[in-house]
Amino acid sequence: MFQLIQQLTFHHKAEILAGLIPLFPLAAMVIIALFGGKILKGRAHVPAIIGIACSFFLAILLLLIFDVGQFNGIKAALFHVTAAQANQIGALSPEFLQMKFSTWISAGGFSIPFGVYLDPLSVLFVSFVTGISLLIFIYSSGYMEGDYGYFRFFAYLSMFVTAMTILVLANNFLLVYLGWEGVGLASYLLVGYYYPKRSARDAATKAFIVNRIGDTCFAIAIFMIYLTFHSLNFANVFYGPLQSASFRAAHQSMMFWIPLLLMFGAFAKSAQFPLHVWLPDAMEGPTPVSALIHAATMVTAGVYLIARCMPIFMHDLPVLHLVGIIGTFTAFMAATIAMCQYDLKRIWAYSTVSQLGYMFMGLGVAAGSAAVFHVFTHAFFKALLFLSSGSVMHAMGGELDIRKMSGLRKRMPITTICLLVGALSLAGFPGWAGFFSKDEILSAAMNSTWSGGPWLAVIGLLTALLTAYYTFRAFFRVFMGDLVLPQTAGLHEPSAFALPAESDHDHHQAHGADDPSQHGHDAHAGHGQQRNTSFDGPITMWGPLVILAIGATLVGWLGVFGGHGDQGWIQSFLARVPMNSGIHYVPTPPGGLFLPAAAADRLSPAIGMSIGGILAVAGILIALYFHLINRHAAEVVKSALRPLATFLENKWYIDEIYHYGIVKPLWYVGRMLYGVDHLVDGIVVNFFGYFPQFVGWLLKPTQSGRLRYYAIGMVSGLALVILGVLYLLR
Amino acid sequence: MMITHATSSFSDPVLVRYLALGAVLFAIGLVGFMARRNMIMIFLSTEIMFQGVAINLIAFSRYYHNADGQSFVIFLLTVAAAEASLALGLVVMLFRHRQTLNVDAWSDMQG
Repeated sequence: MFQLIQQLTFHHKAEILAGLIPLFPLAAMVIIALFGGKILKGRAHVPAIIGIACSFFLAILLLLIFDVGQFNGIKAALFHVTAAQANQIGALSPEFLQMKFSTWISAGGFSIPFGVYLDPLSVLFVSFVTGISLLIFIYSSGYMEGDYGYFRFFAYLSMFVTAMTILVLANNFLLVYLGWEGVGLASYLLVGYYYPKRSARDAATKAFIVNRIGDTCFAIAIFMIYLTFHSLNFANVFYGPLQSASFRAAHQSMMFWIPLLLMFGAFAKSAQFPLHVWLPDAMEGPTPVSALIHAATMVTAGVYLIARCMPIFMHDLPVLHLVGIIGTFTAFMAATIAMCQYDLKRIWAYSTVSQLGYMFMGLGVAAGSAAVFHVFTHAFFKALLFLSSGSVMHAMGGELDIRKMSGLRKRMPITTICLLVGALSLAGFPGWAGFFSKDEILSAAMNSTWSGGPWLAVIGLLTALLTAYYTFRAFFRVFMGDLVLPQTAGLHEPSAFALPAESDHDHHQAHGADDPSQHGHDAHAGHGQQRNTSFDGPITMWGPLVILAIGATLVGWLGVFGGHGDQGWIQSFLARVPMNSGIHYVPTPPGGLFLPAAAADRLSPAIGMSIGGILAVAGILIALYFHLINRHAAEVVKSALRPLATFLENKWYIDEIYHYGIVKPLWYVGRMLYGVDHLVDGIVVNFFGYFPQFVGWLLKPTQSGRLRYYAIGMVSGLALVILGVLYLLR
Repeated sequence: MMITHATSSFSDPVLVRYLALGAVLFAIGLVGFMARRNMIMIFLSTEIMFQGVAINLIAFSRYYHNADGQSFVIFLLTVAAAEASLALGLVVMLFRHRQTLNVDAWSDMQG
């Protein structure tokens, strides 16, 4: 009894803690927005970092509460309970906890609460979102130092994280939608942060419009869910009538359309094939924003949504398989594009699209835990890659073309090691984070009961080879070989807010590379680097990199050790979430939700892992030959495959297809409608405007101001009246 | 008697001469009002039109042996005198503004 009360109290506490998580960044946002410009100025990062740190602390507490028993010692010390009680906190957790704090919308029978829904999935998401965000915030305080609108940047970042935490903690679809739109808005504001730059504005608009397509699909899916289930609450939707076969039969078309529309919503947010075009352009924002979008917030939201809605997807397997097919195709396509890009950040952007494809492949073969595991590891190594690239960009004065730089390891040792760790993880080199999670997805696909699964796995393995190649192509080009620095090295990235005609600026462009004493803007002079010393930047920049590098090295092992039986910690942790069927997991099906796991002819995970590892090493070796040992050979191969290389350099011409297939036709339709409007407006409506004008023009001469004309008018008028009267009286 | 003879009054040759004089005076005044530009001449034209009307009143007064018309004319002359002083004052004011008596100088006062 005592233990039960103790436990209830814990769950209650957990819910309240979860409710507080979005409030800290929200408070930080409000404080920065109100006081940032006048009072905080260059210290605007302080409230943001404190807010996110508080959220991260609470998220870690939640993670411990939901832990399956690996951290009993920590829990016992932290919560002042015995080890046995600590063990039970996790072990006896129900499948989910939810708590309503207040009512958001109430109209008749329709009621939407502000509430949290806690299960291992949301807890894992919220902890890595806040954790990665914390590191990115710290990095930003160094990276953005002295930039115009410093406080604005941190207000937006806090808003971004607020929205993302609402999204993952919400207990109903409408609240998820609130967070969903919130991250959309925040990403728009942050991508367009350098709004004087046309490309930044265009990228922001593109991101917003492409996301709007998905948002519309998601909104329609929410309407359909309400029509079908008469509730938007997760518990009511997933554990309610959905379990009954007769209910599903009665709503057969809804059971198809709801997951399909949810899928499109997720694809827009997570940049999957038809709607991926916004993500590579979104790197127009400052680099920490790219890191935030690609690693912690925004793009993981789509994966979260499908993982969360897996019970619905499980009842419409064709849609689920479509998720896997499109995800796999996107993974392959983005990997091929990444092979032929020259902008470092753009390579990482396409790698994100590609890795997200893997996650959807995992979801498509109903291996939710593997997909979420990949989200988790990806967050570490992608944040690491972007932030390291940000350091490169910072040091190279905004230049990121991998053809213009080489051998940077000599100037940026810490950044080089960090980026190497990130690259090893992305490439899936055995032992690093991406290796475990990616190969888990591939094993799950290989062993899927769906006949298409192995095909996806084969394409996925090919993509793994390409991934290793393009990752190390960038690494060898930029960091290895002879030292080559671009002209702008040692300068700061020219601020988009600088006036174009600033003579001071031109001077730097011309002489900066020769003159180590000159740094970019005066505002940046406080943390200048000497040309012949390290380019690694201040500790606020390389510190988070080191932490992320350690994370990227270690988190993968959570998938191997620490769980029940032969499972890794992460599998045991996520096993309680209804999103799996497959090799590792024997889930507790509430009402037979899952596909039967094929017991026979399973490929051993070890074999899958070895294949993945071998491919990764092969890709790295290919890159080593072409981009370090014999760079000339790469040019020869490229010119031999000229049409293919052009095709890939132009990103499969997808932007052009959209431009000429959608944007231009819509533009012509708009022109046509403008013509119709012109006709109606110009002729019919304007007639009523022009007619009085015409009458006025006719009568205008009578108002000449000449007295005698008025007199003549009076007299002739009088004469007419008299003549008229005489005529009538004759 | 006044009313029964009303239609036949234009057959009285004496009355017609007076009426003709009044009409001629009114017409001269009207034409002067319309044709002249000098503000004082325009004003004098209106006075002439006045006199034409006054002669009509007196003629009919005599014709019908009724003193109403003649008493009207006495009021009319009084009002005309007052009006003349007022109008000449205005003319002086207008002249001071534009240094001219040309009425077209004020044509920008159109409504």
